[in-house]
Amino acid sequence: MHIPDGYLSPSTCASLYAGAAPFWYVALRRVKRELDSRTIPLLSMFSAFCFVVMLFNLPLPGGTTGHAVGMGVASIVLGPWVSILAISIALLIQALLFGDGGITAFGANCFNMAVVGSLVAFAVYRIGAAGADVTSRRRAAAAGAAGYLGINAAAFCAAIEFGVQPLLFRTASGAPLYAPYPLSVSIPAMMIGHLTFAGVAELILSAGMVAYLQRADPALLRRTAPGAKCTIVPEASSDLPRRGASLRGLWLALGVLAIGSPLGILAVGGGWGEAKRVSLWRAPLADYAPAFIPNPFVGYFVSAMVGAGVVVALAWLVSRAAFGERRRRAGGQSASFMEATVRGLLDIVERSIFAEDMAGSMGFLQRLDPRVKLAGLATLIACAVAIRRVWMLGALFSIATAMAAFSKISLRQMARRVWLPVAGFTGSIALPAVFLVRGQILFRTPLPGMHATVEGATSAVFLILRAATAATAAYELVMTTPWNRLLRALRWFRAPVVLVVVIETAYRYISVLLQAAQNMFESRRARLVGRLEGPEQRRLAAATVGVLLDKSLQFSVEMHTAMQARGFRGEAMVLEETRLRANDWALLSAFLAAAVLVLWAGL
Amino acid sequence: MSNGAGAPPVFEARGVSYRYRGVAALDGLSMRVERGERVALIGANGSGKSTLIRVLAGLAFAESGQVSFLGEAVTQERLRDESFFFPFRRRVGVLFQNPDVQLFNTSVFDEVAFGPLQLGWPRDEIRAVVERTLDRMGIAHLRNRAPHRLSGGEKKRVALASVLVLDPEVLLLDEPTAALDPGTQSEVVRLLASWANGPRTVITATHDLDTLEEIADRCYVLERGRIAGEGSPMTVLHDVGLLTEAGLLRPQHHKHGRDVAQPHPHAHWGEV
Ligand SMILES: Nc1ncnc2c1ncn2[C@@H]1O[C@H](COP(=O)(O)OP(=O)(O)O)[C@@H](O)[C@H]1O
Ligand SMILES: [Mg+2]
Repeated sequence: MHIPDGYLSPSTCASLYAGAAPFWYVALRRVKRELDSRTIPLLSMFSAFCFVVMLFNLPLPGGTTGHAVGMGVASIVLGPWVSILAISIALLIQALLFGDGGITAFGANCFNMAVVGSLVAFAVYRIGAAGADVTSRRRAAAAGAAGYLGINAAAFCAAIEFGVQPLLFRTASGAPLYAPYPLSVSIPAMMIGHLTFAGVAELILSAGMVAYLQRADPALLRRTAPGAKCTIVPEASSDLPRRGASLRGLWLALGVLAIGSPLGILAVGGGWGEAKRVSLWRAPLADYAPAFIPNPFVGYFVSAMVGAGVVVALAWLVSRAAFGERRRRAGGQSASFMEATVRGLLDIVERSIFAEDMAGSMGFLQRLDPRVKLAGLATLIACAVAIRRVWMLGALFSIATAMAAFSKISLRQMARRVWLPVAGFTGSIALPAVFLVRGQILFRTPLPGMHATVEGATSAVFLILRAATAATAAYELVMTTPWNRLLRALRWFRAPVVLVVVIETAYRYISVLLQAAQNMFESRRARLVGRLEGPEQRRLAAATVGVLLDKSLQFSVEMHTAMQARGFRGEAMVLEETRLRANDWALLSAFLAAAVLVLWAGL
Repeated sequence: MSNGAGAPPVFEARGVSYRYRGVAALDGLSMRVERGERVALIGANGSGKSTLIRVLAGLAFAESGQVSFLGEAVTQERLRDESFFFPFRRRVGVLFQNPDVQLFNTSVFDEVAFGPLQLGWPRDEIRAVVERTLDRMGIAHLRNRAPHRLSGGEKKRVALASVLVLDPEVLLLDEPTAALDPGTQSEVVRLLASWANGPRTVITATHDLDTLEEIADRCYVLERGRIAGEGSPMTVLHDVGLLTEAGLLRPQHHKHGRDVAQPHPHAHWGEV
């Protein structure tokens, strides 16, 4: 459900930023007002938890994956407002520090998953659990329903955003400039995967986590249900959850999460493009059922979709070939779900370490002040999304590539981590458009109604070039800036101090959680000879998520205690960043002037 | 227990009990620490050392019994009062057992600056003090590194710097040398020793009998949340019965009839 850059028009992006902004504003005010000293650690912990949950790709039919978001459990524990912040921060960390999910589309992603997802989930929970005992089963069931409906509401918003693009944004000749498929395709395509797998994953996550908290730390559930009766006397909230509290119930619940999924074969390994994006798109397209379309032109779509199926299959083969090398290295024809997850985790840890080393070597981008770099690269991405001339897009892409070369970023690495995944993922979405968009016929295929068109090809080129340019720039930002510098740059852009501190703390939790997850996987794998069978893998994944929550809760409480010991009373404080030098200002102005030029020439 | 000229003890616990969800961790424990004393809390894993440190530091609050700091009761209510909170936090430093929970900032510099910032020191003074502390602890070169990516010994030093930057009068140390290699261990012990002369008070929780004489003038032996014994390191180390009962020695030491407890590698005592 992460919308990458290039799929939504600048005006859509802007209006969704504007749509999310008031919610952020109110949420921040509330956090500041209600700040008890546990808020910041909890908020950070849930951001980190949501981030990690989004990395757990579940195998879906058709060889793809989907993931939960965590909006259910976050809004239940934190309340809808703080949950909006928690999920937004998880998304921001993904976008900014891992280059995952769009920067221009960040507002849209937050609007869908953080705002709509949290509000819907919380409303459902409130209604479903009204009057229920804190530790009652009905509360856990309401939590499950909250998660399910929350994630589906978010997916539905994303589908609408995609679907309106071709209606509103086309070139003069009629080629779609952004996401090429209309509502009649985008809605079923998004919803099939979410109504089934991702929704069920979220359901089980929410219900399982609430059931777990009912036993381990009911005080947390009382935060949003102050009136609820509690048969167990809640302890002071500064207590650590009981060490080694029985997790069996949770494991069982989470085990179900994986039972629905077939033997794990991940279509695309981790990496820059992130398999999860692939899933939510490609799975529904591949399994597309024409009967779902309430549309008079069903006939057209049936044939169109048969064609799309063929093309998607082709694209899948291409990306399979592209990722074959990685997969073979991982030691199997088809990497198992667990191995893929471990590799994903390792990849992130390795990437952040690698990034710190890269950031140390002196190249063009490394020399820039992080604030200038952040502004400059974000502008580059915005330009790549805004302009409407293919040749300008090509030029921007070349500029982005040249910057990489001047910054000692190996282009081979870039190809492996950025371009191939973009080609595999966006390519598989863009290719069918070549045949589905009607217009001047480029060449005919033997399939009825399936002819490649100039407009179709144009829209595919737009989508791919935009996505590739944005991903390249984001990768450069991540690879040439140590993340603490990047965070400090945020402070300078007037990000509220609370926010920056929460991001810092969340990032810290993430590294702890990832390390814990990785260790757990590795140590278990070391004890098992040979490959794990399907059920074994699923149990392992479920257990890992459960233990992770336990660990992260415990860790957040301990860290909170350590913060208190050094005088923390719930208020965030930072040392001011130094001023920009004159030549930094000059560079910044140059960047912005160039952007204006590009927009003038390219619009 | 000595009591110099009527001055109130730095810390005094009287009949303190604490439970984690029904599991008793401290059980009517009493102890006191005078100004300038170096006191060790020794006991097996789970005997309540960490909990006692948390209770003394005002990070957890006794269910029954009393904790006082320089004669003033340490309670949740008192700590809400800024005129008690700020001086208390500034004067009492806590080093946690697991440096990972103590290092939550994005750079070593910010980590060390966290305490002074929270206590509202002037910004310029903070910069100067942090620089001085980094130098003194020999970690100036790590200034921009991410604390959680340092080695175990470096982490410990950063954690220590983040506590000592406030120049506390009382230090509560929870297993400061656990999980460090012997070289780093003695280095940490030396750093602490060089800091702790003068009127400073150091309370160290440990199950490491090897360094006991270096770090303490007096020890309390904890067993299941109670004080099982008290005395100078020499007396305690010779009290095989007490140490065995407290789970700090392998039972066979006793059976073999040795008079003097032999401190020995303690890896099997494990980690909490
Ligand atoms: N967070 C916690 N939740 C539940 N029980 C705990 C927790 N921390 C400690 N305990 C229990 O309290 C007792 C004392 O623990 P602790 O103070 O950590 O001992 P020590 O530091 O001496 O190893 C032990 O029985 C331990 O199991
Ligand atoms: Mg301990």
